[in-house]
Amino acid sequence: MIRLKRAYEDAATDDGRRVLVERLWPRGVTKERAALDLWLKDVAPSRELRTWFAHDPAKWAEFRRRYREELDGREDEVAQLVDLSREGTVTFVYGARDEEHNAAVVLKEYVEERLAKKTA
Amino acid sequence: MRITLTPTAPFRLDLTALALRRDAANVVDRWRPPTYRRVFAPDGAAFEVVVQQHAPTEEPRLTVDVLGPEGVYPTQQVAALLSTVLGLDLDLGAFYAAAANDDPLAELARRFAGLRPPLLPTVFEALVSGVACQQLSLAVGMRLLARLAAAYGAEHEGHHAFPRPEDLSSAEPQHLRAMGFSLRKSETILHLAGAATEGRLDLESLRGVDTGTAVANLMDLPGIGRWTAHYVALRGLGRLEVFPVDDVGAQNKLQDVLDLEQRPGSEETRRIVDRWGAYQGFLYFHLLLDGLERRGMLDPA
Repeated sequence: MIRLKRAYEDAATDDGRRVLVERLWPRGVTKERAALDLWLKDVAPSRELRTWFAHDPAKWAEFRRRYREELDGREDEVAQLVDLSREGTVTFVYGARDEEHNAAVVLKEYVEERLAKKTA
Repeated sequence: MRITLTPTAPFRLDLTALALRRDAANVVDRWRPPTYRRVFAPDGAAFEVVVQQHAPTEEPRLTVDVLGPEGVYPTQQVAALLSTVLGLDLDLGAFYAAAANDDPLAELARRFAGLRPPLLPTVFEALVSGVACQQLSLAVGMRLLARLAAAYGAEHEGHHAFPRPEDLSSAEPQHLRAMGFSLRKSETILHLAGAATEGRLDLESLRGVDTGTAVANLMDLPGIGRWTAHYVALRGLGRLEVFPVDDVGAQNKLQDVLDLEQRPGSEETRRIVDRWGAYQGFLYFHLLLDGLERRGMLDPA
């Protein structure tokens, strides 16, 4: 199972493995508080895409499409997340304020699809 | 020998040492929590200082252990060196007052409260450090400086001081070339070292002139452009009103902090930081720390 959680929320025991899916470390968060098992910075959107999107909900559909395209080229990182998710609960930790329109939401959906395909 | 120093509050050794070190490849300024270490050799004889913070940000107290042969390190000299390098005695109240607004950059001041603007101990070191880092990433520039220090800096138990001009007197351009310095940088550094050793160039006298004159005089030196002159004004002369506007790293950090669509150019950068007036350069160090944090190289308390 994959969960999503902001880096600014406290870690909980039922988070399972906590994976930071941002290219940049969330400001003001200590390593201790982040309580991460893994920082997978290369699975995050490219700098160009992130800057273009700028968390503008009007660009969401196009952002989602472009990020998924980027993920098609990140086989290793995606496979790592698929494997972790199969083993147990995984929480994707992200920094964005907007909880509905952010890269972690797209990534969760993408990895879940892979998981379904592999399981089928 | 152990001495105790009491910096003005707020003070955080970790943030200040990280801003001084800039990159893990720096072998002269070493930060290994909880201690900051540096080998000094102002008169040629090397000694090492080991600094540790023992009391919190608001009531700071530092202990300094001085390691080396007896007699090469008068207590007052060590205290003065560290006060310079770590900005221990600066009163930055006006900066924090200016930061008490909702400017997005003010948030940096709150997050990194306790940071001091670090200063390289000599103008010569700042100049050589600036030349080494011209047109290169910080990590690459720092590796060049590490090789220079290892080859020419006075040694104390395996660690080196930054070379003085006279330490470089026997160096030839091809020696620096072999370390990875470009020919132009090699010649610039050795020209500066030679002129300073022979007394034709008095870099320390720049401390006594106004900032505009200092920057202009620096830019008159061969191989020194505006970026390097700004770098030296800030890191070597402690002119906090100088923001190196041509610094691509700083421009990238401003873009990240302010969520700008594009990296601001020199003029745009000047416009953005202008309202920080006499503290623009201090803001630069905050951006540096923010950059370290974003790469996961900082652990804020």
